[in-house]
Amino acid sequence: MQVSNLVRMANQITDFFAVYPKEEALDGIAKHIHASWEPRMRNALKAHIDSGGAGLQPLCIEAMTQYYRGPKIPNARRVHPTRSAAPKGGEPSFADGGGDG
Amino acid sequence: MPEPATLIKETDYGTPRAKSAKSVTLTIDGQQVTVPEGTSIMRAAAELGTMVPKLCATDSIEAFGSCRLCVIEIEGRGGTPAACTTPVAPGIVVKTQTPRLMQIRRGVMELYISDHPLDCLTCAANGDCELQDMAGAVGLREVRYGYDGANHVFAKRGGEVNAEWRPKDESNPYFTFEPSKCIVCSRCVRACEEVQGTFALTISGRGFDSRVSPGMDEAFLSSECVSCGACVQACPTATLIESSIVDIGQPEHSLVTTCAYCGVGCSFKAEMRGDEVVRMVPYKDGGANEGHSCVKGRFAFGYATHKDRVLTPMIREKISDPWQVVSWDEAINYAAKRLKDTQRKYGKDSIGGITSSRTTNEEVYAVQRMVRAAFNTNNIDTCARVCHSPTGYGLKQTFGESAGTQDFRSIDVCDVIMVIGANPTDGHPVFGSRMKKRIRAGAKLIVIDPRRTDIVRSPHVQAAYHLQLQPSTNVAIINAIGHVIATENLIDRKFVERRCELSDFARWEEFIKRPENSPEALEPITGVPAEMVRGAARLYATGGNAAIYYGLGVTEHSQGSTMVMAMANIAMATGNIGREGVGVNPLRGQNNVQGSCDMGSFPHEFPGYRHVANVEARTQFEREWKVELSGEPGLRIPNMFDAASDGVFKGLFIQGEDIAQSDPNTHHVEHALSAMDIVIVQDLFLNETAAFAHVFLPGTSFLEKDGTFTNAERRINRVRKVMREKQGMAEWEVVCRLATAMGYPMNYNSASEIMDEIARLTPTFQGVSYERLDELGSIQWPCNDERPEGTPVMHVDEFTRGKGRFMLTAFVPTAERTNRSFPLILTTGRILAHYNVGAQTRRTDNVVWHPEDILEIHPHDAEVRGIGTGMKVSLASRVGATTLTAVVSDRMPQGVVYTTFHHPVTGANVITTDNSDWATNCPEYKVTAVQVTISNAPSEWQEEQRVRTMANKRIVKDVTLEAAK
Repeated sequence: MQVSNLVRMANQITDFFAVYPKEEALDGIAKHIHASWEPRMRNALKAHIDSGGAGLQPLCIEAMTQYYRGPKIPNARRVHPTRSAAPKGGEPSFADGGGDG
Repeated sequence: MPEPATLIKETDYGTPRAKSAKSVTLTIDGQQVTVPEGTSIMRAAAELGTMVPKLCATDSIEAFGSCRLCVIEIEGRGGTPAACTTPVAPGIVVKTQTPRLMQIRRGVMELYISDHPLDCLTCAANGDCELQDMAGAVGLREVRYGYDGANHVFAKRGGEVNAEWRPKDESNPYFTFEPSKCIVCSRCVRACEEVQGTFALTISGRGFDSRVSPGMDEAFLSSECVSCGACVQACPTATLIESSIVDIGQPEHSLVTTCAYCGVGCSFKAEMRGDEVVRMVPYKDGGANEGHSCVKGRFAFGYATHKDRVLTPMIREKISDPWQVVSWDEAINYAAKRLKDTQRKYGKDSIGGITSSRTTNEEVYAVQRMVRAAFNTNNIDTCARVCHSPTGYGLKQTFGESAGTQDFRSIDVCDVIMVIGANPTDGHPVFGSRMKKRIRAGAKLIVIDPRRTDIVRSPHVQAAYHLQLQPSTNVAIINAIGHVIATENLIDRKFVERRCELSDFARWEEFIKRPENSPEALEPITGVPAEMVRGAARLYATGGNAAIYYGLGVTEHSQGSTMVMAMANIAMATGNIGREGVGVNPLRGQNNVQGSCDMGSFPHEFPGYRHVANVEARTQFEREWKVELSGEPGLRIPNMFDAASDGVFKGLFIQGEDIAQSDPNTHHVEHALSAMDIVIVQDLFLNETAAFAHVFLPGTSFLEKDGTFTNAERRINRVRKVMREKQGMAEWEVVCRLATAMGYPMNYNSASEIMDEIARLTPTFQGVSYERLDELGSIQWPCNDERPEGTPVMHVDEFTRGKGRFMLTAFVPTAERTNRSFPLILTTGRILAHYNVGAQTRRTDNVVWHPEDILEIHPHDAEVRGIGTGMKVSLASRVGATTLTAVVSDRMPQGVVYTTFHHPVTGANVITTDNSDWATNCPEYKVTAVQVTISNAPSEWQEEQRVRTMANKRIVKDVTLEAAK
């Protein structure tokens, strides 16, 4: 996946949620990306963040770092893991998708 | 369903239906009848089955009272009033047939016929002529006046040229105007005014000199006429008649079906002789159009039988090879083998599919099932991605359902119409006419658009406010409107408290009241004077029922989804949602955009907008389809292109969609398509995308389809097969066979069976079946036990999601900026005569109105570049360049240029960029920084395109590819 496109998309999503209170913004960014990005895209973003996350907004990095750590967010439910291609850093955190659901 | 082999004839009640709730009882010819107050005596009689003779009356237009054929007698009243202009009154006793009336009518008819040719046997209207019928009805037996006197009938009179006579006008490619047959009933003139709202026709002269005049006595084609066909429809004689009737003759049977063009989804009677369509006539009982039509649906169906249509499957190993004609089995097995090979080599998720908004719900459903079940991946997307995906997202977030809130009829009780980024008179003409009709009746209009579209100012229509904003500043302007509503105390607090999430509302109120959202603060960004924004906001909030209608000018931006939510916010804040006359309404571009989205062709959603991670929904589909399904979202169209360029996405099935022409940044799309191992195109024509395909599966036109389309008002309309498939197989069957060849047996016996499956699996479609559709005519979903006849207006007592949710909609400027090299902003749009990529309309006579795409440029921008109307110019952006013809026009503000994308040779999308909506990746077609310079040569891309198009048409007969099993 072309990382520059993913960075741009992730930043755009961050721009939308940035106006919300921080906890909600973090949640919103992660949920949106979780619900609408194909696993390979999420994996590529993780790899990019793992290698420093150049170009990504700090808020986005914070949201996604938390997300890739796995289902630690309160009220989050585990999704049925249906495939091996799920994000490497941790299984998806939200059963019903997030913002896009 | 109407019986086949009969010609459907709708009753003409003579005058429109009266809307009064009060009823009146009267006696007509000894029979009592009760009708709404305000009904004409003519209509009341018609409801009893008594057809009072008439010529100038028809129920699509108001009564006029000029022909004097419908005279009647009323007991206790003197004279013989006209039944069409006389309203019913309680207790009156009417006679429609007496010796006196008979004599008057005969006298009138005798005068009419004395100036009308008697060539009935060779007349095109023979068998469908009201004048002929009336002559019969009144018992006309002789014409005592002769034809020697002054007349309009003969070219010569007494050996001299007859100055009253006019030749036929055949300038319009679709209908003929023969003035010698005109009886000056004014039905055409009134239809043009009342139904279409164009005012292209008038009656010039008076008395015996009266004649129908298009424009200032011009030919139809050079007049303002938009060729909607309303005048032809209204004409009682052969004066205005479809040229196809002149060429072929009268039809003998008809079927009701649905137009395959825009999202209005008009119902038409396809009038046939054998399996040839003679004409398409708008259907009066059609829920979306109620008897009206536009030039596309009414006339531009010739593409279905165009010589360019490919009717046999074709395959080739490499895209540089010529095509090889093969049988269905060979093509399907070859496609299946290559898809499976690709999956074996690159993994399950290396292939996917794209569905089309131009195909039926059933066809879309079949493709998404094939992709999800047979390919076993969620890499399925639809062309709605590039038009209205933000609508789905934004309305779902705020209201809870990914669809427009109203039916079209709702506009009849609307007081303030806000049109944002839509050009209804060109893009959705039949609804545009309805909108203009309401505006003429007094509704106020607010237009938010960078371009001065026709709706801003046209005969008897004038926008109260035209907020001519800079492209890409939609969210800024709607926030400014929200700010005025919130700070000037115009919020409908009762509504908000009862219907909305209060915490979200409180947060929104605080946000929107911030000074940075004020019209004054945003004026430098939007370019719109703050006072105008304030005026428009006040009008929207306080003018009565206010409705928003919007188009791609809202969605196709980097903040498209934000804008949709911002519009929903102001509708909720002012209580303009949940009843007739209000709402937030997308005008969908293609006929089945709504349907293709409903049918589960988004990569993260099953039919009915349920996320693939939703275990309950997924289990339901797994049970029905007997296969394990993925719970992860698949790739969206732009992601597919990126993945293809990266070499991890290798195979694509494309249904009825020309992505190489319609998707942005053509270079990028072409690069992605060239990188694929297997591309399968299912289409009518060898389109631009087919140049990159290995398998071509011929498709069917709407005339050959059995299925349903769902229009912008969620109305499910039947598409009926009026002729057999020209290539021999229904498109859904081709898809089923391909799925089966891939090892996943998929079988349906009919399109109706597919709909039954959809209804079983989709809560909002629960009560939908072909049987019910035939019974009710059409159904607006949600249709279930609670609402067995469908839902014309949504969110009435509560929102689908329960409480309405205000979203925070901060304005974020687009990344696409002008600079010294690219100082202008290009925005794109449509024109009336063409549709989307033009694949259909370019193959009809509609090209007489728009033979090429043109670039509109402001006089100042043109002058500094030395550009004049008609000059060839180069249009260049950061990603590509193309050459086209310029027209200097002040419809655009300075700094903004405009073009359409109807012609492949222009390649407008060579220019557009990869920028997209933050939530849905809907491309930002509406904003591209460009430079325009004088040029006399086609661009490099255009030259490549020309060569490729030639190469793509090569077909060989005698070469055989390796046998496919």
